[in-house]
Amino acid sequence: MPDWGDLVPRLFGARVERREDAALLTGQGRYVADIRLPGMLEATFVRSHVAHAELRRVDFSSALKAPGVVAAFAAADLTGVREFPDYISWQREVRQFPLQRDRVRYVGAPVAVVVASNRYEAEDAAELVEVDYAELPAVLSIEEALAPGAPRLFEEWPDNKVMDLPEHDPEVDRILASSPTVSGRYRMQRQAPCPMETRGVVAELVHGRLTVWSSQQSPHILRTTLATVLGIPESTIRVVTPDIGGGFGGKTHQYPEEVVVAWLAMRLRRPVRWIEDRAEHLVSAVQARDEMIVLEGSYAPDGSITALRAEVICDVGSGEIAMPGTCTSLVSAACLTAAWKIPHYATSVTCVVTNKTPSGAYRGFGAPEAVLAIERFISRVALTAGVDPIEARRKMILDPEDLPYMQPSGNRIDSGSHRAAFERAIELGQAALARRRQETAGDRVRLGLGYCQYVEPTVPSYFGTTGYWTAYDSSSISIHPDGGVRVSCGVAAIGQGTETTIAAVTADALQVPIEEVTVVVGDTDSCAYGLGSWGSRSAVVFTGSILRAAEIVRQKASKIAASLLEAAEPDVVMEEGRFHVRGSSTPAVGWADVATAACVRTIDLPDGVEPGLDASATYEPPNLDHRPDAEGRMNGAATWANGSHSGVVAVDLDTGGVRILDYIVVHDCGRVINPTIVEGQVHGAVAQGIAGALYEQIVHDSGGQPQTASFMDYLLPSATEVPRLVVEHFESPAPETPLGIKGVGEAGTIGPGAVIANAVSDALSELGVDITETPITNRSLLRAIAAAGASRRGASPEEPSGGDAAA
Amino acid sequence: MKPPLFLYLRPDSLEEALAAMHEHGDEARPLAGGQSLVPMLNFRLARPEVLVDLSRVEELVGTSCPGPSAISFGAMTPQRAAERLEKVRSTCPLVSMMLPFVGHVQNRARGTIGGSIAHADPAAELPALCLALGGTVVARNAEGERRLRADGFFGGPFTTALMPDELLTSVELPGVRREDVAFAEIARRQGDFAMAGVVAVRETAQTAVRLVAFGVGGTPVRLPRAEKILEGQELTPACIAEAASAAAGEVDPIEDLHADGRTRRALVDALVRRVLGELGSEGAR
Amino acid sequence: MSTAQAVSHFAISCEVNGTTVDRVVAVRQLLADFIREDLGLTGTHLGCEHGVCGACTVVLDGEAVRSCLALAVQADGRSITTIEGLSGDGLTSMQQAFRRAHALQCGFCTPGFIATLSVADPSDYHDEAGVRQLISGNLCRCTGYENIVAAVCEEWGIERS
Repeated sequence: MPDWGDLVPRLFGARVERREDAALLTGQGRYVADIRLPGMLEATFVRSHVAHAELRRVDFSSALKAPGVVAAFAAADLTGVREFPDYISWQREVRQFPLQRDRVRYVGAPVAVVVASNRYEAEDAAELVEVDYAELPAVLSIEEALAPGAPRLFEEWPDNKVMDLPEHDPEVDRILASSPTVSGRYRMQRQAPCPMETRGVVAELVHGRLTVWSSQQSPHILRTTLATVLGIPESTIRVVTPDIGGGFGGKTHQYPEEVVVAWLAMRLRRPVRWIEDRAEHLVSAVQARDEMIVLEGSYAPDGSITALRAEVICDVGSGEIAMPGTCTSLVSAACLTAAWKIPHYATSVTCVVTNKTPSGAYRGFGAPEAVLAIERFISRVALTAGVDPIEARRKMILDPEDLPYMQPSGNRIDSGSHRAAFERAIELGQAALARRRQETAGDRVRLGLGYCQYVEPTVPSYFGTTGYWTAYDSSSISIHPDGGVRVSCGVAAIGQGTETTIAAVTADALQVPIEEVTVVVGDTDSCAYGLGSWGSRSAVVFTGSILRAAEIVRQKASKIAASLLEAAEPDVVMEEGRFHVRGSSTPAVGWADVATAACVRTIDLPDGVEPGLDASATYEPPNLDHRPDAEGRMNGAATWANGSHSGVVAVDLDTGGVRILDYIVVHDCGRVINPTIVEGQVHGAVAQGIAGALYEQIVHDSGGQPQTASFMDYLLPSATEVPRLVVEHFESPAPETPLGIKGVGEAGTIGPGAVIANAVSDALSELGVDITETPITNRSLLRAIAAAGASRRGASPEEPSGGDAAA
Repeated sequence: MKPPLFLYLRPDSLEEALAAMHEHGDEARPLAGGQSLVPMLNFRLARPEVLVDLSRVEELVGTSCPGPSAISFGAMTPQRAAERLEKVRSTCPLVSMMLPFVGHVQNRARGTIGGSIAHADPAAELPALCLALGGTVVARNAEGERRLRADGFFGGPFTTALMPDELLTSVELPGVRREDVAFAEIARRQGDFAMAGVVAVRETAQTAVRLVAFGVGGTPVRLPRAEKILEGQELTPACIAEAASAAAGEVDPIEDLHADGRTRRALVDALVRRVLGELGSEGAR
Repeated sequence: MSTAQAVSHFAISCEVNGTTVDRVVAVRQLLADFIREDLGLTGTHLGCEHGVCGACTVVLDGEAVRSCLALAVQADGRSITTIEGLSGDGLTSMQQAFRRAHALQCGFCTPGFIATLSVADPSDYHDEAGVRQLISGNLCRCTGYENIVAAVCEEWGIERS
C-alpha cells in the first residue's frame, strides 16, 4: 500500500486554498459552451414530443430551406455509426442507436439533428422538421410496467423487466415464517442530477484526428465508446473535458449527442457545437432514483431485526443509455443493511423499463433510496415492538470490534466509526431539539428529531456499469529542467477541487511547494488511461497512483543527486525538496539541478541512469471482488465510508409545511486530505439530499408528457430552502488504501431523505403519521395527516405514505 | 431555447407606443420588464409578430401621490425602484410588504408594476394587491383613456379587460395604513409563485375587511362569504376561525403540479387565520 | 403621427465594462448571447435561459439583472458590467471572501452570485436570513450555499445565526 514512508507531508490534512478559484471567480473559466472555433456550426436536436410511438418518417424538406441551415440528419443518415455497446450479461440487451430508428420510447428521445450557422437558426429549422409518429400506449410507472398485458417497450422481450434477479435464501424464509414480522413499502421519487452547467459537446476534425470537447466525468471511457460507435481507431480521437460545471453522476454516461456531434464534425468537415439547453436537459439527461423497496423483517423483543427480506424495484425509464441505469438498484440492495447487524438478509432486484427518460447515475447511486427505506422500517419495527427507536438502533449498530464486518450481501465493511458517529449525531440532534423547544411557539407547530446512519461504498468496481471489470487509475509525473512538476491523472475534474487536491498530494510526495506543481486532467492526449470521476473514487485512485509514480521519480532523482553531490546513493536524503548527504544540509541540490542533469545536461548523469525524469504508475484499489460468488455475494467497493446525520424540523399542522431548523452531519471518510474540500462536498451533497426530501421531483402526466421541464417546476432549492449545515469529521483510516483515505463525493446525499422522513414522522408521532415516501410536500403531508386522522377514527384508511408520488 | 423571429419597435413616447399598438393590434405584444414574456419567448410559447418595447417611454415611469392618501405608479416603474421608495412605504405599506415576494431581486430590477398587473398571472402578488386595495388601472389606446376598477379587471388566467390595442399606463392605489393591512403566502420556494396567498385590508373605520386570495383560481379572488362574516365584527379567534373556514369553502382552487385543491383550501384556511390574526393584534394595539 | 418601422436588426451602442461597443444585433438576440457570443465575454453563463438560475446575472445600469431575460437591443444606450468588468486587476474583496470561505466549487454559478452581490448595499442586510433572501435568485448546485452565506456574512460583518 503506497504511503508517505520517510516523507513529512505538509499539505496533507491542511486547508489548502483552491487553485481553481482565481479563474472561476473572475469569469476566466473555460467551459464547453465557451469554446468557439473558426467556421463552427451549431447543432440542435429534434426530440420526440410523444412518450411512445412508432417512428414512421422524418422529413427535412422544409427545414433544409430555412435560413442558415447547413444540414439535417436522421438515424438512417448516420453512415458508419453503430449501436452503443451493451456489456452487461445479466440483464436483457437494450439496443440503442444514437438517433432513434423505428421507435421512440420517451419524450425527449433524439430523433434528428439540424445544423445551422447559429443556435437561433438551428432551432427555427428544427421546428420545421416533420416527424410522423404512430402513437403507442405509454407505460409510466412500476405498477403499469408490471401489469399483466402491459404494453411492451421492446417487442422482442416477453415483458418490461430489463433486469430480474430473484432472491434465494431459505434461511430467511424459515425465520420470517416462524417469527413475528413487520413489513413496509418505501418509495423515493424520480429526480435529476441537474448540474448548473448542462451537457455540451464541441467537435472538430483536423488532420484526420477528431477532437471532442465534452462536459463529461469520464473522458477516456467516452473516447473508447466513441471509437466503438463511430467505428474508427481510438488513437484518432482526443477527448477533452475542460472546466466542468458539475456532474453529480449524470455526466458519467456516454450520450447519443456526443456521438452525433462527433460524427457531424467528421461528415461536415467543420467544427460543430451543441449546447444542451435546460429544457432539453430535463428530458434527455439521465434521471435517477424512482425506486420502490418492499421490506419484510422479523424482530427480537429488543426491537432488533433478526432477518430481512427486500424487494428492490426500480423504474429505469426507457433504459436507452450507455452504461445502463440498472446498477443503482444493486447498490440499493447492497446498502440497505447499512451498518446494522442484521444477520440474515435476502433481496430480489427488479428493474422495469417505462416511457420516461433513461435513468442513470446520480450522486448517492442507490444508497439514498435504501437508507430512507431501512430507517423508516427500523422505526416501524421499534414501534411495533414497543421499543424506543433510538434504543432499537443501538442494539444493531456495528462496533469497532465487529470490523472488518462481512455483511450478508458480501460487502466487507473495512473500517469506520459507526456507533461513535451515530451517538454523536444523536447527541447534537437532541441538543438542537431541546434548544428549539424553548424558542419555538405556536400550538399548531410540531417539532421532530430525525437521524440516520449509513455506509457508503467508495472506490467501486466498474463492474456493472460498463462490464469493464476494473477500478484502477493512472498518474504520470514529469520534472522539468527548471524543477517544475507536471502531474497528469486519468480522473477528471468536475468542479470538486480535484486539481488542488492532486497538486497537494504531488507536492507532498515530491516535497516541493504546491505552486511548482502543474496539474493536467481531462485530456486523453495528455493523460494515461483512467476511468474518470464518479463513485467517490477520485481521491483514492489518484493518490495511490501519484504516490507510486512519485516514488519512482524520487528514487531516480536520488541516484542523480548522489552523483551530483559525489556521494554514495544510500547516504543521500531528501528534505524539503533538497537532496543532501545525511547529517549535513550543505551542500545540497534541488529538483532543478537534478532535472537539468536528467533532461538537458545528460552528460552529468551517472552511469546506468537513463535521461529524463518522469514516471507513470497505475493504482488498482484493494478488496474488490468485481464479480459475485456462487451465493451472489460480492464486495463492490475498496473501502467504506460512514456517517450519521440528524436534524430538527418544524411541521405546521395546518399547512403541511416542513421547515428544517437544524441539520447536522457527522462524517467519516477516513483520513482527510483537505477538510475544506471535504466539507464542501458534504454541504453540496446534503443540499441535494434535502432537495430530494422536500422539493425536487420529475413528474409526467398520464400520457407521459414531462411536467417538470423547467426550473419553474423542477425545484432546485435556493439559499432560503437549505438550512445552516453543521459538519463534524471523524477519521477512521481505511486500513488498505493509500494514506488511509476514503471517498467522500456522494455520502452527503444519502442521509437527508431518511433524516427528514424520520423527523417529520417524529413530529407527527402523536397522529400516527408514518412517512414512507419522498418528496414530503404540503400536499402529501396534509394528505397523510388527514389519512392518519381518518384511520384513528376508524374510517377506512388511505395509505398515509406522506410522500408526494407523481400524480 | 432561443426566441423565435419577431420584429421590434421601440417607441420613444406614449403617443408612438399607442400608434404602434394601433397599427399592429393583435399581432403586437407590448414588452415591459420582460420577466414573464421573455421566458415565454425563449420557450417559444409566445410568438408575437411585433414586439413593442416600452422601456424608452419615459412618461410611463415614475411614482406620484395624486392625493394625500393615494399612490400612482407609472406602468413601467421597475418593481425594485418602487420597493426602495420611502414614499411608497409610508403611503401604501402593503406595496412594500408584497414586492419582496415578487420573484427575486434580479427579476424586480427589470420587472415593472404595470407589466405584472397586465400579465395577470393568477398566482402573482401585484394583481392580488391591486384587487385587495380596490385600485384603479388606467388604460390608454390611440382613442383615449379608460379608468378600470381592479374588481372587474382580471378576467381569467393571463386575461384582463385590456383591449388588444390598449396599454396599461398607470395603477392607482389608495393608501392604507400599515396596521390595516396584512399579507401572507405559501410557495414551494422563496420567490416562486404562491400555491396560495391571502391579502387582508381593513376598511372604513374597522367595520369591514377586504379579503383577497390568489394562486387558487384563474384570477385573484375576493372572498365575499368570509368578508360578510367579518362585517362589523371584532376579530376574535372564533370569528377569525369562522371566516377562515368560509374562505376555504368559497375558493374554487385549481390543481397543478405543486398542490391540489384540498391543499390549497387548507392553505387558504391557514393563511386567512394568519392575516386576520395579524390584523386583530394590530387593531388591538 | 409617425410610426417607426418594425425592424429585424438594430444598431446599438452601449458601454460594456467601461468600453463603448457599437454593433448591429438581431432583435431577438438575448443579451446573454450578445455578451457571450458577440463580445466573447464568456464569464457570463447560461444555466436555464428562463430566468430562474441566475448564472447569467450581469449589472445593467447599476442593477443586477438576468441577461437571459433581456434582449441585446435593449442594451442600447445602457451600461453593462459583466464578471470580467467586476473583477478588475485582482480579486475584489467579495471575491477574496468567496475564495477564503470555499464558497465555490464548479464555479459555473459564481459570476452570477458575484454580480448580484456587487450592487447590493450591505447596510440593507442585517442577518443571515436577509443574506439568504438576497442570494435566493442565484442557484448553486455544489455548495449547499453554506460557504456562500459564510463568505457574504464575513465580508459584511454579519454574525451568523
